[in-house]
Amino acid sequence: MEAAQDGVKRLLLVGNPNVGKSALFTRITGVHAVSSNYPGTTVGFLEGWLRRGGEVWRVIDVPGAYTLSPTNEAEEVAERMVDEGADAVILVLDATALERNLFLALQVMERGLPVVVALNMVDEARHKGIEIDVEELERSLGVPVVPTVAVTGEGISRLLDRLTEAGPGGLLLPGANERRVPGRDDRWSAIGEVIESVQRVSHRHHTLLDKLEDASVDSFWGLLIGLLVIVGSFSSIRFLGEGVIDRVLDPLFEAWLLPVAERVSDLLGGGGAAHDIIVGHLIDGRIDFEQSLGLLSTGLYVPLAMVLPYVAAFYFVLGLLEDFGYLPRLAVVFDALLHRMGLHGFAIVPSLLGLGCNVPGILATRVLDSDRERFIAATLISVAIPCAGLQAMILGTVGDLGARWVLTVYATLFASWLILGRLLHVFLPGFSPELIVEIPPYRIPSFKALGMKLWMRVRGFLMEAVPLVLAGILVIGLLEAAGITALLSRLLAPVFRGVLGLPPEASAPILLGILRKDVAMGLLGALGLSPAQLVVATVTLSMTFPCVATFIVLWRELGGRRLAASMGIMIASAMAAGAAVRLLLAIRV
Amino acid sequence: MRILHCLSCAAGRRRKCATPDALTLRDLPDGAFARIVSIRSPKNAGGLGACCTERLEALGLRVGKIVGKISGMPFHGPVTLVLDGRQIAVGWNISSNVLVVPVRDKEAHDGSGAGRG
Repeated sequence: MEAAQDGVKRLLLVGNPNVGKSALFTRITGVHAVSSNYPGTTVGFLEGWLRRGGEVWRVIDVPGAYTLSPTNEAEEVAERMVDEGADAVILVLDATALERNLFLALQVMERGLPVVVALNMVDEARHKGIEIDVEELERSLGVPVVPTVAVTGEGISRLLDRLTEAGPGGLLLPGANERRVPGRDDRWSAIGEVIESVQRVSHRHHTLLDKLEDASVDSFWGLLIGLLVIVGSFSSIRFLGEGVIDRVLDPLFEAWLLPVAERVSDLLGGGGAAHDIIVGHLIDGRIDFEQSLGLLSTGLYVPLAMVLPYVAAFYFVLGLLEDFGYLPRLAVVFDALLHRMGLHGFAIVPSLLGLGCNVPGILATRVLDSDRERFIAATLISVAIPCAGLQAMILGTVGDLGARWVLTVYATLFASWLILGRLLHVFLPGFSPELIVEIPPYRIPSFKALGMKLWMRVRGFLMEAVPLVLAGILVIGLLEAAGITALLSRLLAPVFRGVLGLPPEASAPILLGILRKDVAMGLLGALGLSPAQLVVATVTLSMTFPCVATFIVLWRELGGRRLAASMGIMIASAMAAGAAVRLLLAIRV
Repeated sequence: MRILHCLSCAAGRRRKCATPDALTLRDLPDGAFARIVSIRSPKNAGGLGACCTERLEALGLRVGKIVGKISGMPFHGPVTLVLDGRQIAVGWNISSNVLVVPVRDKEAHDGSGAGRG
């Protein structure tokens, strides 16, 4: 056992996935948690601090695991963390699925670590007609057992009080005295005996939520509900985002930022290189937040007033679905489709996240099992899934032409997603992995937890995206001042005209898309293209190079070689999709 | 050997069967309960991956357990089960490799959850 030398003790929270471990962690440590990656892996975990009775504990939220004989990377990390030792372990067990949870519990106790058991979700177990004899469980396991409800905080202080009683436990496995390593069957039979003596299940009637649970995975109702949820989510995201922009942010920016920017513009003499970089170009003698492209104008307006409201609305709705427990059901509904694209149903979660911002979407592909899946999912997200910022711009520019054109853009992106996914699955060696997913019961979300998650995600977006937009705008300003943009657009103009039927001016915005797709979209809108040309340009722009932030994350997640492959696929599919739409819409130059 | 035996009788290739009414999880009708009699070794099952038996076990999908089938999605989609009062979903390929024998509702309620209820 390490730690302790500096007076700080090490406390591990160990449990299966979906047992309320993170809620318990937040209850114990408060909000100041540090999220980090386990060295050498892509698995993240949370660390926090607990002060109690003159002692300081470093609390570590170990990644959820079903077993310490690892079946995936998260479980590998869990095993290593447990093997690194601890001054105490809080084993978080789900009272509604005790049998299965005890398997992990036994593995931890076999390692001789001092353990306290938090028997979590006892409220839900009671609802389900499951009665657990806590005293008997304590006797069988030989460690303190405290019933808790992490989301409400019930039992937490009693749990911490009994931390001092943490012990290695005394459950003897059959065969343990014969000095051989206990196997899986030994554990399961020991668990069977424990369950037999502590748990009673009584039959109870189905509630409305139960019926909804069954309907959500039904072959007919499940598809219908899935469709309704997706359509409903996106309508409410649009409604919320637009409402905030029109009623709050636009007036705010007009009233506060515009006078400041105008004042700076006057001070800089209304023109010149420094003026163009800081304030931007004046459009018709005025500062235009969307098109001026200065740090003080577009640099602040686009991320804060155009993109942030959609991102926040998106994360709010996603958090609601997540905490209600709908997402695993969506995975079931989408599995058959995704299976044919080399993924399994759970890849729907990163893909949906990508609709908010590609960066967290690509990061979330870590939940997938194989490198092949991660490559397919990440490539698909960066190519064919428009982030909230891009969508805001699509609606802003193409939306003026009418719903038909917006639908054309979305339909093209969706078709590209399907076709590219299928092609990748067929041509990449390997196989589609099978879905194995636990489906938690529906729960009414806690708005406090929801608010906190929303805040953490929005803060993440602000810290990562806003500096990148500012940097992007700075680079655009510098490139343009150096004449590099003009040179590149001249070189690429024949390609754009020949393949896509676009005028040469359109090549500059599409190149700018490398830095910020959403800014580039604004520029396209100002070119006076025909509706069909605008659709082609929008599709091509949406699918070509991801924004800088996405590019960096892709690099980190995939590594150089596979990033290059992904980029090649991206350019080919953007051109193919653009050309296909051009042919369908019959654009002549 | 026993596993092969079961699968071939499920496929109707053998006349003498230890468990003549066994069928795969995917063929079990929605709403029915059944006892798991065998899970085919993942090595031979295309696309299952080596990790699966252990993950399935960890989720409670083991020989001898009673499961209820909630639904199977169309187009070779996943099968959703209820096991120990919790729902889990497994891919179509897995559901084709789990062999079960149907039980009556009464038995299912007595046997599931391993309680005395």
